[in-house]
Amino acid sequence: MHIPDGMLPGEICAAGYAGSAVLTWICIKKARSSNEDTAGIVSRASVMAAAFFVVSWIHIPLPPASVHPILAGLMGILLGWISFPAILVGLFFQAAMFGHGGFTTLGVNALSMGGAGLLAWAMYRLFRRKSGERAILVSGFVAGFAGVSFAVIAVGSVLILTIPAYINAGTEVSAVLAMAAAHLPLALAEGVFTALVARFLLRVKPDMLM
Amino acid sequence: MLAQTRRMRVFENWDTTLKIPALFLLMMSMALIRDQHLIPLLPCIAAILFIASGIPLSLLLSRFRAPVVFLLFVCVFLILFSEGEALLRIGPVVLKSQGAILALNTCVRVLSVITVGIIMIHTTPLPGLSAKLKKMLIPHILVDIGVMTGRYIMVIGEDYSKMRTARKLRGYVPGKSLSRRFGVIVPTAATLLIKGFQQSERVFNAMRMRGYGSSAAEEERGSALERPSVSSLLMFLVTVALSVLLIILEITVETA
Repeated sequence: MHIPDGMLPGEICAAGYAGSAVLTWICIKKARSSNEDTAGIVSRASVMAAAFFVVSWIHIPLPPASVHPILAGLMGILLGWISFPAILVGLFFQAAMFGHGGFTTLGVNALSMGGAGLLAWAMYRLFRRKSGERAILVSGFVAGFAGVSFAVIAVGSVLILTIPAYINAGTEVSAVLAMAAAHLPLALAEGVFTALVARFLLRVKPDMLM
Repeated sequence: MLAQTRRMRVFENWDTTLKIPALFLLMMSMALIRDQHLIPLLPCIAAILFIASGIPLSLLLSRFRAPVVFLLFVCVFLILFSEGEALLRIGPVVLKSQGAILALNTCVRVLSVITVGIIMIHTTPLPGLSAKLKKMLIPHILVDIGVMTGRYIMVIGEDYSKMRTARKLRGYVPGKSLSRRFGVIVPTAATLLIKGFQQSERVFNAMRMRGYGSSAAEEERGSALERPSVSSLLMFLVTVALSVLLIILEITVETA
């Protein structure tokens, strides 16, 4: 789900960096306006980004294989506005340590994954109108599912639309839809995982939920 | 081995504030190349830099593992769904020649750019990196988040490792049923997140007590950095010139 270096044209990479720089600035400004000072943003984003990085090593069983959680939805729920810079930094470490993603494509990857985190947070707030376990399970599932779905569609669209010529528009649309369909089990698994983790946190440490 | 270490040292001694922008610009200009006549230049540049950097081949190959899977999917898509002449027919499957050329170009470009990225990251010494990144106009807040994330990945990773060992010692054998597996994965993940959250609160208090974010502390941290050497400057100029040349060549070929 992370686009490697060299896959996208230089101008798209530059646009991705510009977009993620603007979004990072907006997110930090929004976090500051909600009474969060710089030390709070740095400590919460960095330690939670590290925790999410480690949690992504845990594999979710998805017979016949297993997948690692993307966690964009859960990061959105727990970090709100700060989820975007935290995901940006997390993606940098994934590129540097494991070669997942890339340095030139970091901006584009951050927009798809970080955007997924922000969208998941918005969905979570929309669905979590009531208190109680049922509400958290529903909103957690929607957030996890929406996070993965957005990321898959964003990555798929960017890839297909930047591949030069020789492929007609109909095939491109079919490819994006096929990619989304192939990731449906992953989105469902992530939705269930996010819902269950959110319920666990509600029982054990409810102040963590935004 | 000694020669390899010496070569690596040349890249390590290349001033970070010049090396990162130069190699990043080179990666961006290599990513820009689409013309198939210019594509062969990319592996040549990557190979020269790789040999000059002295990075072990095993490291490079190990880092290719993740992108190769991704590349495989893209290549299969390009070869099967491109328009144009048929290269090969295997029953109902038709492999397209233009798709094959495009797939080959993509593979060469991706692997070349990744090689330069690996050289950039593996020859950059960590001590003093945060100050140098700040000097390169990267927002301070992002550099601080990055530095602390790197530190806490180790701490929380160790916690996770201890939890796994404790689980094994208690005789946990992962069952086949999904509910049983989720029953273990969810508390493990949530516990790690809670530990991270509590740690972040302690870190926040420590940062506040040390005066993080105040102008006095910033001034103290922003100490003067040493000037880059002539060799660093020369390597920077050569790399930038190469990047500009690649961009000009691509534009010229495209307009021609």
